[in-house]
Amino acid sequence: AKDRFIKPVNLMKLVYGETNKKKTMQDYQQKEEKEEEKEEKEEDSESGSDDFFKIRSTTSMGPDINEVESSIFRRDMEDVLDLGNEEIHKMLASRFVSRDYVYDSK
Amino acid sequence: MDKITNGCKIEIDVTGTTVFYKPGILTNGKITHDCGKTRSVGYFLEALVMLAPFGKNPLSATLTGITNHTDNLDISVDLFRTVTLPNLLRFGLSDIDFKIKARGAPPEGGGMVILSCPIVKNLKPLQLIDSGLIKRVRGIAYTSRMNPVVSNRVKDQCKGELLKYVSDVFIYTDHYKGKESGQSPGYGLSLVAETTTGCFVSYEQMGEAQSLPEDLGDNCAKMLLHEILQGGCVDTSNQSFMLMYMVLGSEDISKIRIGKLSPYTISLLRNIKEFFGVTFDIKPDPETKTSILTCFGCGFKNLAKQSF
Repeated sequence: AKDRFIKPVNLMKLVYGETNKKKTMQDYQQKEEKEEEKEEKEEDSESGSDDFFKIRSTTSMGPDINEVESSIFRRDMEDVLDLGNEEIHKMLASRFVSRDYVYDSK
Repeated sequence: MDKITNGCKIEIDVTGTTVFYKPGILTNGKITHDCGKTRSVGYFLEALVMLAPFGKNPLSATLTGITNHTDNLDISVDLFRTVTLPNLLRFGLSDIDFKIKARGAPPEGGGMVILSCPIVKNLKPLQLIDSGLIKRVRGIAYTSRMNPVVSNRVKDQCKGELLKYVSDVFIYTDHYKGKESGQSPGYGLSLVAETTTGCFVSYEQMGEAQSLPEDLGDNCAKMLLHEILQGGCVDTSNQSFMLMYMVLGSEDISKIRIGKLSPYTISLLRNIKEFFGVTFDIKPDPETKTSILTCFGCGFKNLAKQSF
């Protein structure tokens, strides 16, 4: 249960594959240059060659979803289902209202 | 998609590897659709409920097929009615009506549901940060074409587990027979925990062949506790609905606290960035071990409706 929490730094990176920093004009210019280079490469390469598939495969955003799932987002079922564990039991109990909670009919 | 739009064009090439899609205007209206036997009705409801508010006319959709699937891949009609729709009311939608006319368990299905959805000009922004504490748990243990004792066995086992944490637990037993029971036998349990701030955390599980009802009740209760342990204002299965509506909302900031990002939600966030150009700011909250997702709505407006 202690390892359940995801490290703060990694969240944006894991979802989007990049940090949430503001983009400057230089970033946009670099991006445009890269895209132009890519287009040139696409034109040069013959259709049906291996390069075509290489270019296509690089367009995916961020890390592979299976990779993410296996590393951090996998549910640690064995830990959670062990309700006999005092630590988990206490954590769970803190999520509920106390026994003397006055019932609200709404 | 074809039934609720006018002017759309869908072309699948000879090899079946490329799809060309030209969107049309969302017209809605009265439609009937057979959802087949591979995916449950929830799979289609998920898409319908995201599109229907932006149509030209209110939607009245009758869907037939499997209402509760054992693979737990899609949301069941029970949780759609008790959790998803109340959550969507927060975005300014009202008068959504959902009726379960008949149950349909796999493999033959035969269930029927009716969804009525009004149209809106735009969606309200959402601020859902305070998850509160769990004050009560409600559930539905259903059986169709089976002995009603099965649902009682499921209920008793589940209730015993949940009563250790909260005293207000009530699980309804629902038995379907005759025309309402579909074409295949089946049973299942859906649980909803309500918090002091009106948030819902849910979990559901359907019974599989050669499994004990007691095991289902026990597992389902433990999985609900697992969802509660994760924290957040919505459960794993409803994350995608809320995030999508936040993006489609008016040009204002929307915030939501969620427990753990599911792989499905991560891929949805990536798709949202690609299609709408909206990037969520994800800030973890170390105290509650949850994350707060913030976005600026894209200001999507209902263009199909002529005047308001």
